[in-house]
Amino acid sequence: MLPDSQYSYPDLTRGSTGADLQEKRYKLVAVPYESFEIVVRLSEDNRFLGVAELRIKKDFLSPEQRVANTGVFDVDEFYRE
Amino acid sequence: MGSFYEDSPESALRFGDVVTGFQLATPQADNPSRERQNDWAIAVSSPAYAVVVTPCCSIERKAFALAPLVQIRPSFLKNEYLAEDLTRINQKVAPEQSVPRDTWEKLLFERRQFLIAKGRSYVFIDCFVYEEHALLCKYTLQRKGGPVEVGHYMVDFKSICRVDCNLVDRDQPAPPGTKILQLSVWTRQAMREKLSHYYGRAAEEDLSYLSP
Repeated sequence: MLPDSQYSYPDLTRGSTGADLQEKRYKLVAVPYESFEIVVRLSEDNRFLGVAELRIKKDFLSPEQRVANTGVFDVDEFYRE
Repeated sequence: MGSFYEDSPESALRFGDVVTGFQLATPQADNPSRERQNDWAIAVSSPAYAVVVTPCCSIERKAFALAPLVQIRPSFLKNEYLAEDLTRINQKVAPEQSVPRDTWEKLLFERRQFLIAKGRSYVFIDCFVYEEHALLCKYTLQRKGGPVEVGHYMVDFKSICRVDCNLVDRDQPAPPGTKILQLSVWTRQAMREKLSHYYGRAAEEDLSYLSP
């Protein structure tokens, strides 16, 4: 048996289940566009590889919609003595 | 949700506890001024009941915060849904339950849509109602429809004061004879959430400047 220092990670994993899958060599970047976010796939040297996802930007609420989301009903005027 | 109060209260003070025997002081300054240093007064009250409003873990070093436990507002009873169980004020309610039934029917379409858009939300954001209990005296509430006997009380988050007491410290029993009731875990969490929301909500005029 070889001492621990002579084993490398590739040696240990070679031939094991999943070892032949391609390693992830891209990164995902979200680019804002109007009310959407386009998630693009870039290579390690920032070359465009494709679009991974299109999603709605969470920051699309109007001021009126944000006011509507305060979690409080401003109805005191209906309870005056 | 279980019972409103804890059946087996701990000896130490907890957030939301009903206590007695403490005096509360409120500075009064009708004309605040750096020049007129003597133009002020301190109003001292000795409420029958008060509520601990310091978070459990922060009750230490001989100081904590109290708010008087006061009579409920008669206007609460105008809303049939809330009057049926006044502790519903402590939870978020549906838009149509936020106002008296006849008011809802008469609301302008735009106002009703505005309330519906909010979804379940709090009413009376500054109040937390305490359920009636044999250890809390009932009282007569004067209202338009005539007097009514009530056992519920409420804490107004705007009435919080600091109290210093040598007998109050972390993991120490409450001063003898002061602790009357302890909220159940569920009720204490409901109060924590409403108090957090009271302080945590953004001003409507600031919302357009803040990122969600």
